[in-house]
Amino acid sequence: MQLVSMLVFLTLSIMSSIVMMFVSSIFWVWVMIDISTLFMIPFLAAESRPKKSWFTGVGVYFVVQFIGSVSILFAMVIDWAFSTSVFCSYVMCLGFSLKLGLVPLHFWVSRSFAYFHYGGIFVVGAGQKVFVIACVPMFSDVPFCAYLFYGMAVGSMLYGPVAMFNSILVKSFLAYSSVNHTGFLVITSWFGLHLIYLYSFIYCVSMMFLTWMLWSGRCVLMKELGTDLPACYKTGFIATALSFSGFPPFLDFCTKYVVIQIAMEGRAFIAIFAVLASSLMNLIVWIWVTSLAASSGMISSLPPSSSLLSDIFNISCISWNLFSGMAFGMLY
Amino acid sequence: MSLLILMVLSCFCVVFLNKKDQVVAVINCFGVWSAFSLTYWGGSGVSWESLSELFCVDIYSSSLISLTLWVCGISIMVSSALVNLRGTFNLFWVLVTLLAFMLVQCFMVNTLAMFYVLFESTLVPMISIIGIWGGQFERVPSIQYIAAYTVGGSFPLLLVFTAMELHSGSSFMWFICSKMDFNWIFWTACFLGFLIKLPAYPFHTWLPKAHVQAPVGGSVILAGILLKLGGYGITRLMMLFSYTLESFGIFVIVLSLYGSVYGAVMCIRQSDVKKLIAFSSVSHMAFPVIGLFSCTEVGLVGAYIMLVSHGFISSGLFVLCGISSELVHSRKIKAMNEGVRAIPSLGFIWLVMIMANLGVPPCPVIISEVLSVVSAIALWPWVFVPLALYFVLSGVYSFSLYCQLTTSKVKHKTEVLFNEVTLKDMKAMYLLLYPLVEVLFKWDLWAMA
Repeated sequence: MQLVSMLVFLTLSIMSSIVMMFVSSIFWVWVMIDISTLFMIPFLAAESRPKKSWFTGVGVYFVVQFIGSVSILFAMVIDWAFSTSVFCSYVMCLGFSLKLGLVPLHFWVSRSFAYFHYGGIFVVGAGQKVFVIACVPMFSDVPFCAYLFYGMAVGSMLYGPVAMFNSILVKSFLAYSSVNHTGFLVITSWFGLHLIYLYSFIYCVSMMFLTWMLWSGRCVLMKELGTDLPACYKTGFIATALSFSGFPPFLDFCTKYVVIQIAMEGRAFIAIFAVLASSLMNLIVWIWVTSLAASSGMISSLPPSSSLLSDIFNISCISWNLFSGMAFGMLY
Repeated sequence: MSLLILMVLSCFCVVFLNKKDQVVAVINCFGVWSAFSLTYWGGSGVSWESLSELFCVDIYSSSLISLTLWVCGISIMVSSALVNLRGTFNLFWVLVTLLAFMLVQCFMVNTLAMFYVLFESTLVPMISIIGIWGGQFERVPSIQYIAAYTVGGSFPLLLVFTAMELHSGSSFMWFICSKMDFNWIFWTACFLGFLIKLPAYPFHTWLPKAHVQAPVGGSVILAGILLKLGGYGITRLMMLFSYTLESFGIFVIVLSLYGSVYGAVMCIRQSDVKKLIAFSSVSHMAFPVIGLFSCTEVGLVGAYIMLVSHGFISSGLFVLCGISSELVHSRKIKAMNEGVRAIPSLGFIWLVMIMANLGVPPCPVIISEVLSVVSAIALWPWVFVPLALYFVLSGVYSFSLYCQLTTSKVKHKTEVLFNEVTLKDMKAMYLLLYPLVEVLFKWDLWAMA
């Protein structure tokens, strides 16, 4: 019953987000964002065995999203009342940055994620962000806001991997990974929405594999990743980690290469620097994660035997990370 | 393409064998592939394989392809001791075969984009080998250092070929000679990644770390073929962008001259054999750098003789190091003394390999060194001073190594574990010495007609 209710609220949230993509007024965008967030709360709060602190993560998430929404609403009201004021752009920029969790307004991400279940981490960290990013205005009337917004995105891309490296909990690690990828998505939005949709789809599928594997092992601490991760998923996890490291010919390298290509065409050298620097730091972090995942004893057979579904999932994960990059490159 | 198809089909057949037979089958496959790759050797111009749309092969590619297949086969052969270590040995030969497959493609592709992708992809099996079978706990930070250094250094190259694709629509790198004038920033972006890979001084710091952490088979591949990717990449980019004698090149030659002397001095001070061989590689790799950047045909021929010869010689040294360290379970020179003196033939082979490394005739290394010296002196006659100093120092560390291995001054007797070494390991040594003879008689293969 709880699972059904979770799915219902999740579906309602997704529907609101999809409707948001088709409305033309910023007011209705704000309405749909808030409805989507409200429906997300019961989904995030659902736990099979509720702990004393079950409300902590959800509470922090709700308060922050609420403050962000209030900022956006306030900005809209200012814009209606004083159409020549630039103050509304600053407030709106602040509101969206807070909702997305861009550096330096990212403080809530780790605090919330530490108390979410893995389904919540996937939806909030990967799925929800793309809808919000797609609705952020261009701030063409106040260029400083645009530079500020993208500057925060660059900061997120550079800060995220550093914080990932210092994470003790797996969920905190995923939180800062989400911060890093949010920055990358915002940078990508500079070059075109179609690229965001494509990269978001890729990122969501990769995160789905990752969160499923971590959830199945009930992974809590980073240092115990090797023992907690199920043996049947180790090869899939390592493939995902190598992909996030940015090694060719894995998927993440291909997506970042496309972005670099477009950035070079547009002479966006800061974006190129941010992508390359972030990739280098991600390489170091994910090699560390790979070594943790492979640390507790080697796989005795190749592949390890388990249920048919687990094997299919594992092979799908490896194939996705290894071959989708080439397909993406040919498509794009 | 035909070689790649042969490799894939052979591996497919090997999968159906008994697990115990798979190792022997794979080693034999590498022998067959090496023999097949010799059909690509054809002197100047491109070989018959270049009829493919994706690949183009000339003597520079084909010599390194043969070296790749030979060295990878040897690395599987000498890794029999790994059977007793953690993990499954089948995974090792799978990773080595995958690495060989990527390397062969790397030497055959005709676009800079694909070359870059394969160039970086070879890191994945290599760091997997080091991570799984590496000897020490510090292997993870070493892997991070190696990966970050080599990947970070090749980012400028990524930007170069991306710009190339944007402006000309393709990164095809054959039969094209750019007529543009480039500044030093461009040349740095082009060559930095390859200079790190070689490794040229001062970008050499990752190599001793890698060799210390890697198992024997990993060190054989790393020294035998992975470093040669750097030289090959430099050659291709020089041809593509019509590199002539630039201030950047002169600066790199100066650094390499210093690096050759520096490497030799560091070798003298080492007590760990693997680190000694690593620094020896650093000082030897100065010669291909000098030869390539001197923009002379003599230098190019000398560079490739050194690249190919060093591939066999350094692999042989690492194999010997592996055999000797398995006998006494230590990599310290003084500890190996007991093992080497207990097996006189081992001492003799050490002498042969040390002399080959030193460049004593008839080893082809001497031809390479002479040609590189000629090409360097063509730039500026006084270059022979640091080179002469290098020759003296290399003699010092070579004889020092041999004396420490064979003279009996050790006070504490070390137990020699004869059962840790198999006949397969010694066979690998003979198989590494034979190709040197081939290189000696065919040293003018890389000269342009």
